[in-house]
Amino acid sequence: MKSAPAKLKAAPSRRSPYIGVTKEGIKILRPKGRVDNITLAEARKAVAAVRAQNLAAARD
Amino acid sequence: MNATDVFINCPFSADYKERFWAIAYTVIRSGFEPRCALEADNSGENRYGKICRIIKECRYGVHDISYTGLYGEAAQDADFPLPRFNMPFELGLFLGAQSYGGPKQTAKTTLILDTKPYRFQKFLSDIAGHDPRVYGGDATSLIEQVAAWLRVEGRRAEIPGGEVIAADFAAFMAIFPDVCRAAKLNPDNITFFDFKRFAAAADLS
Repeated sequence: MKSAPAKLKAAPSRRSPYIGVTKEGIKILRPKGRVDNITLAEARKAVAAVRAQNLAAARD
Repeated sequence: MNATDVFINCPFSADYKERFWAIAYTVIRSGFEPRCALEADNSGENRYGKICRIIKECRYGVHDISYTGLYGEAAQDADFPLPRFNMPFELGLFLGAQSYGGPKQTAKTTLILDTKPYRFQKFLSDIAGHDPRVYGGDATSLIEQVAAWLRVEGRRAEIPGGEVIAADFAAFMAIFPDVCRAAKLNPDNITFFDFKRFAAAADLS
């Protein structure tokens, strides 16, 4: 009798060393240390919020 | 040794802070990773060991030796004035690692900066033969030197000119206090770690 096939383990997803690319095509590295996607997302959110606020103030 | 890591050897004093952020920003904006003794917060690791570990991991080194002078305050320091030796010491460690650290470490490359030409010959004559770059003592001229060096030594033609990075840095520093506050952080006590993630995030926005 054939034994049940072993359950395939999902390959661990490898985190990219880059967090994005600038308009010049420069790959921005993920800063070393305890920087996960959440802390990076928070940083991007904070920058975007301030820029949007300044843009709105400039329009007024 | 990491081919993208740049060791920053400069003063961490308040009067140099803008230039320190300028170097770190230029390194990030050029696609490299800034490293320095401020990055780790492990009280169990001694400072010398930490510096050696970081130097070993970095292929590139930016060394500003312009603050090799007498510092302190006479009112607060009985031994005033005393010279500041940390920058020449860490430059020596970096060059030593390149000379004696084994085959991989020989690939290290160094940028030495000062604010006056040929001055190093008086206080650090042992590095004669090296060619320190001179900048104007301000963030903009410092950025121009670091960006040009990374473009050449890193073989990265896509790195924009120093003027472009300096303009981006000025724009980033203008919003930086508000960015810190939006992230519930005090801009006056921001860590190197937080500066890096904000600068990286700003470059992609």
